[in-house]
Amino acid sequence: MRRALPGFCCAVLFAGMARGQEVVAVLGSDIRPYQDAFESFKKELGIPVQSIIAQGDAVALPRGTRIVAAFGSRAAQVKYPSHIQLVYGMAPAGGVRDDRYDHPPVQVEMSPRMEDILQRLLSLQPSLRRLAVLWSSPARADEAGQFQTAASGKMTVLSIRIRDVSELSDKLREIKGSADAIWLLADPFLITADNFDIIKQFSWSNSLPFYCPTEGLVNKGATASISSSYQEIGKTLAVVVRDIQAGVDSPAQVFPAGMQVSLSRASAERTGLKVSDQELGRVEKLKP
Amino acid sequence: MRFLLITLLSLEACPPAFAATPDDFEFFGYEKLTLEEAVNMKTGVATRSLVSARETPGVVTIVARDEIQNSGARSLVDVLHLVPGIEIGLDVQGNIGVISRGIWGNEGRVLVILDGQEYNDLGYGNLAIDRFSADSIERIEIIRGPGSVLYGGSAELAVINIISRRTGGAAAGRAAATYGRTARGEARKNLDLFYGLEQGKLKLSASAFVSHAVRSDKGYTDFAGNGYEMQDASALKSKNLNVGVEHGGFKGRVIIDEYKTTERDHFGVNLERPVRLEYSNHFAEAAYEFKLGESLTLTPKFNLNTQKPWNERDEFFFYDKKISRYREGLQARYVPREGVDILAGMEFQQDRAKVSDDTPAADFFPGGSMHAAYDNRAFYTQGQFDLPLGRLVLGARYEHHSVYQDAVVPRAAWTKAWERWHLKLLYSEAFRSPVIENIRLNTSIQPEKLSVFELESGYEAAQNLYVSATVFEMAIRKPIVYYADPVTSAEYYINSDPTGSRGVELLGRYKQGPHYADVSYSFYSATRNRAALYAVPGHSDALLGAPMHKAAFNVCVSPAKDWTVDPSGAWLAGRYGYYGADAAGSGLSRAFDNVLLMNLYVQKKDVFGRRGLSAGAGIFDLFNSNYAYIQTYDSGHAPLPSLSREYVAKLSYEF
Repeated sequence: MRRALPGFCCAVLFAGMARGQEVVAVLGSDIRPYQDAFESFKKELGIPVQSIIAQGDAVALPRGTRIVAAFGSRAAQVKYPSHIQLVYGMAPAGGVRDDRYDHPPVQVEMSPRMEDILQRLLSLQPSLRRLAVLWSSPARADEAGQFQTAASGKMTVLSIRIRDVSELSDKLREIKGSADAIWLLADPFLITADNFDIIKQFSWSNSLPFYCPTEGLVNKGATASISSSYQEIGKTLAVVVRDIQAGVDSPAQVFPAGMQVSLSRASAERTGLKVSDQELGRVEKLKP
Repeated sequence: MRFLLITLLSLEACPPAFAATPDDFEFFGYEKLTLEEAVNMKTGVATRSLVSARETPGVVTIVARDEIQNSGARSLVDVLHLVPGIEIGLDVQGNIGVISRGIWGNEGRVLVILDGQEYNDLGYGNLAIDRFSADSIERIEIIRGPGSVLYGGSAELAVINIISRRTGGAAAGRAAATYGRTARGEARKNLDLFYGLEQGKLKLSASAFVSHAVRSDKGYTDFAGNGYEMQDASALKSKNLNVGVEHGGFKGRVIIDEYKTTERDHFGVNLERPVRLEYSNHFAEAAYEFKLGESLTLTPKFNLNTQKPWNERDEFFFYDKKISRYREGLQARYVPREGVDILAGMEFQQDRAKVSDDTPAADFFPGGSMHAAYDNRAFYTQGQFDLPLGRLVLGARYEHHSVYQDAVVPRAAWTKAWERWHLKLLYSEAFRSPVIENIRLNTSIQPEKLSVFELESGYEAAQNLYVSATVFEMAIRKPIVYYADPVTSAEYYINSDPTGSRGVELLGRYKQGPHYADVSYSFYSATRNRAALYAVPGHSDALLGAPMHKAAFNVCVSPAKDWTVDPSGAWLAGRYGYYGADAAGSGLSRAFDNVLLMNLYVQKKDVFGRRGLSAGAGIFDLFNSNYAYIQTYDSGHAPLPSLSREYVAKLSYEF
């Protein structure tokens, strides 16, 4: 009760402050990644922002809400009033229908620009010539294609769709000998604990570096990640919101500005990745 | 109530278990949780390789852990009440069992598997369906149709594949306590414990379950008009220890399961006092998956199952037999290229039975022996081929038994999933193998054979709405039918005249965020039934004890963060059964009133701000429907009342 009372008082105060608020944040859930991004969003925006957890098809927005910052696919797919300017991020599960809103929604992507990712991959692994890009959901097909376009002239990208976990092992065996490294798209249908375990075992036993779109996966055994942190995505969402408030047009697709490389020494050794000392010095998060 | 309080207090003393860093699997897992995922949930139950439920060559229902938890299900029986085409009927000695599409499945026709272990008793093939805890289940996969090609002679009408709790990552634990009361007294006390650990290739899991419940708190009256109160005469006690280990390709499991019941209803005529029955079931399994080259996998597997089913030692009835089954199998899976998946396997199994030294000679095995041993050899194959026109699945199983005739069953299926809809056309044959007591009670017994046509179509009508419809027609030749003399307790098995059913199952599923609603309707007609012991006098389209119409629903609403409200239930209509006897001793049958079994369960997660701590409360059989289990064959047993309205409280803690 002692802990609950201050929380309750804050909530009441907060609710009062939020009345008439122009910007409201809607979170897909209370899980930590959304919370981390939201905290960063608030800090960057510098004003109190009410947050609502999406519970269904519709959300009761405070009167006067003009901009919704949605964190996660579930929050992004809520049917907001058509006058709302929707800005959303951390939504790899699917997009939002443009025709629902008067102003086109703005999406902050999960990962940095592909050109930047490829550039950092080449820095980490200069011998990289053939990159296998794994994905599963049809919604990620375009992204896989964009990777191929971005890599043009630098390396060959093998776009490999894993339709079903049962074919994952076979697809990985096909990669053997025809790729120098693996990149996982931020695809919720691909990145599951079981799939990850299979890919990790394959990568480790075949000395094939295995790169991921989030830092947390490096802790689970990936060689390295080239990513924008959840905090960075939240920060970028805030920048977009501020631009909109200032009347600056925003493109429909925005990439997070920050990019960080996390590298696991142990996984790098297991996957045969030898990183130069100079490059190691550039790695933002070096893990044992 | 005291143990619930102690559990609550001890949990309060534990430190909160927050993850130190964001869990990316949690994030991606949450993002994945969409309607598409729910509809396309993968299952291996019908093929032994993971296939989308929309494309799997069987009519499959998958019930996930969240759905079980949100509904507050007290046992597996509560879950089965919500599955279309599946219902519960009455056997003898206070036992209930599964009905599938109108036909009595407890007679060794429905296979129940827990973590790969076949639970049907080796003496009669029965299920003892309420020995399973709902809280320890990760998910249930139900084939509402035959599975003999892959699973053999008990998987004739349906397969209920229960997968117990798993770790999602490194280490996880769970403790859950359930307490239930009716107006007349205590209804249940359950305690579930689970701990799992993953370190590199090593995966360990251990779960334990203890339950004390009662079948009913009402009064039972037999055909002769004699009655007794069941509150203190229908105890159901379960203890289960389940330990599994995986390392690389190795998988091992040990299960020790002890289930005890108390009954007075016996074979229909009440006993003078309650007696105890025991059903012990012990399993050990070891398997190893060898990968030979790029496309071939070989899996040798060894299982040992020892049982003492229906164990009763009293002045009314004596049954004390130890039965064991040893099985060794080798399965090969060959995937030469994408879209081709070929499975072939062989199994050898030996059933051995021994009566206790003080068993009366009349209960000895054929030839007056105290021992019996039967061998069975099985060969099976299945091919899955992805063709431009869809997925084609062809399979067959051959079994050679040391006593009865050989059995061969084929299977053919065509499935196709388009963007929004899918179609399945299935033809299967299946069989029900006689087991030890079938052979003892009728030495000329033969396997019964089933043939089934099924057509299923599903359509994603909107982003959040999925509907499907299934029609089926099944016929059983030479059905093995059990009956008992309610006065002398003498038991009989015969190969009866044919039986069968045809019908339809409709399903609608709506999902939006944390809210969902599953609604189903199922109907059967037994116009093909010629088995007199299953027939309803004057109603040739119905089968004893099986509701012709069933509508089930499970709705979950989350009105606020961490709260769920889950009304669920089943409406049963068109039930017929025997309720008494006339002066000449002939059974009297009638239509039973339609019943609505309505439950309401409310759950709060992260209680007291402590992540992983959940509390729930619910009311089961909200309208006190006066539901009773009806005997599914003409054997002189009056309907056995179920529990009346029960108030249930649950507390669980996950870390």
